Amino acid sequence: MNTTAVNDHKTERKQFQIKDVLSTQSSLSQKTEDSSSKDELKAGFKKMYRLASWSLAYQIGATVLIGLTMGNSQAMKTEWIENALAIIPILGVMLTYNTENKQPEKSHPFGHHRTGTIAFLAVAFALAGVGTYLFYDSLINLIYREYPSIGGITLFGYTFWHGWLMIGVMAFTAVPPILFARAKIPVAKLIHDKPLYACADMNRANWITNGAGVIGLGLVAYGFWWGDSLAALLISLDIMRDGYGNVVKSLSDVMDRHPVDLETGQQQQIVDEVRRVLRALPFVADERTLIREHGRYLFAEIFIEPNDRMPPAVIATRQVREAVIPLDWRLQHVAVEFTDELNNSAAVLTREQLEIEPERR
Amino acid sequence: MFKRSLVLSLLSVLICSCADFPRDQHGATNRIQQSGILIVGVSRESGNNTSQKDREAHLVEKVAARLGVRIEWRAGNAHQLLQDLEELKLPLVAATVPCDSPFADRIGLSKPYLKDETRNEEYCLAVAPGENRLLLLVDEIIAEEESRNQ
Repeated sequence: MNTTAVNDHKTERKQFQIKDVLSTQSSLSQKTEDSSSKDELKAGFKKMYRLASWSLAYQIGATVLIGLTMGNSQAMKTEWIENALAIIPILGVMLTYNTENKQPEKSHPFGHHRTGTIAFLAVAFALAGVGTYLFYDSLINLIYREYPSIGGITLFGYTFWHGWLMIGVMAFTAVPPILFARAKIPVAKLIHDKPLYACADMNRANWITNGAGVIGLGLVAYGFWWGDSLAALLISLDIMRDGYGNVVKSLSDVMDRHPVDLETGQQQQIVDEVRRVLRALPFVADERTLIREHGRYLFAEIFIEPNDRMPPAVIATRQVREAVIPLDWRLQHVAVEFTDELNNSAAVLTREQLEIEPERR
Repeated sequence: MFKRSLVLSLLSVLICSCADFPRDQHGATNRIQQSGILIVGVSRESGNNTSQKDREAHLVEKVAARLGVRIEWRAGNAHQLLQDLEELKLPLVAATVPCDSPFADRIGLSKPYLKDETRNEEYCLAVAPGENRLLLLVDEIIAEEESRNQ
């Protein structure tokens, strides 16, 4: 494509483009026509906030408890950091909930749905970085054979081995995360809450690290010094898994990847459904549809090449919206463009196509 | 009936096993008991508070009595003693070691047996790294002395 073509394509855009954007409230009211699913969503959001509050309280409590009892154990130190870091995604859930309803403004015309993504990205990098550091730290402890010295602790006038208390705390803090994960996953899927799903995913594997901690400290009690560092190594691997997995997910989000299923990471059916519905409209000869996620919502750009049966653009646009928007309550922002040069309109241009690529030596 | 006896026997096994654990990583307590001698590093440096040294000696005597062994004092430079401790050449050092000593991460420090309010410093006995059974015994004796003094 040469420069003139690009300019032509821009003029065409001006001529044919009819972008009809509804505000958040009015479009949402159109979407979920049956009140039962609306009620379900309402209940979902309420449950999400309650779950986030409870799990925030638990996570702070667990961090304090582990911090107070961690003593000289590397496994406890690692578990403590894992618990402290787990507070941040919960704050991300709450931050998203509280900011996504903020009206778009002049400086942020697309709204504030991605606040959660930003929080999430920061947490993912923190988890990956800290996990890697802890892995290194535990590995060094193993290589240099650092023997964990765990002495006695006096509680209520009775002195006993501090390791027993650590094992107790590890065992105790293994249970609530499993329950939280079970409660969070269906809610996260219902309201498509990525930070909440990430929390649940972190919680889900937590009992394994706690189990490793219990066994590791048990090995120390038995006289095997390496139990503590080995358990810490396993816990740090779990932190790294959470970190790197979430870095990939949140970066894909920032890169406007197509909508994916929270659990499988596969493209969601909605993309094909929108295209199927569009192609069924009598005036559509061909289409290109670009859908991306903004937080939990879907933003779609639809380019349509009309045939002879094309009604006036305003009517055609309304028909497109009426066909597409009820497909998913998350479809919040739909922009429609009618064009007779589909490939040009929907193109995402490279430097070569724009003829601004410097020549290589 | 059967269930109850099963639970009781499991509990008693658990309690008995708790009494045997934690074990030392390098068997210091067993070695001390087999040889009948507890070798203790004491600092040779002058200028240390004698009442504090007496207090340490008293604690060490209690440890030895509990293990049923006699004490062999080994005087030396505090830094060298802690290094020997780290290298597992000594099981116990009583050298007025501050609890925030730079060695703290590499050796086993007991709970503080003395809090010096004027210097804002706490003092600990030092045990070879990973010898958790011996460390627990030292901590138990310090706790007993603490409650006796109160």
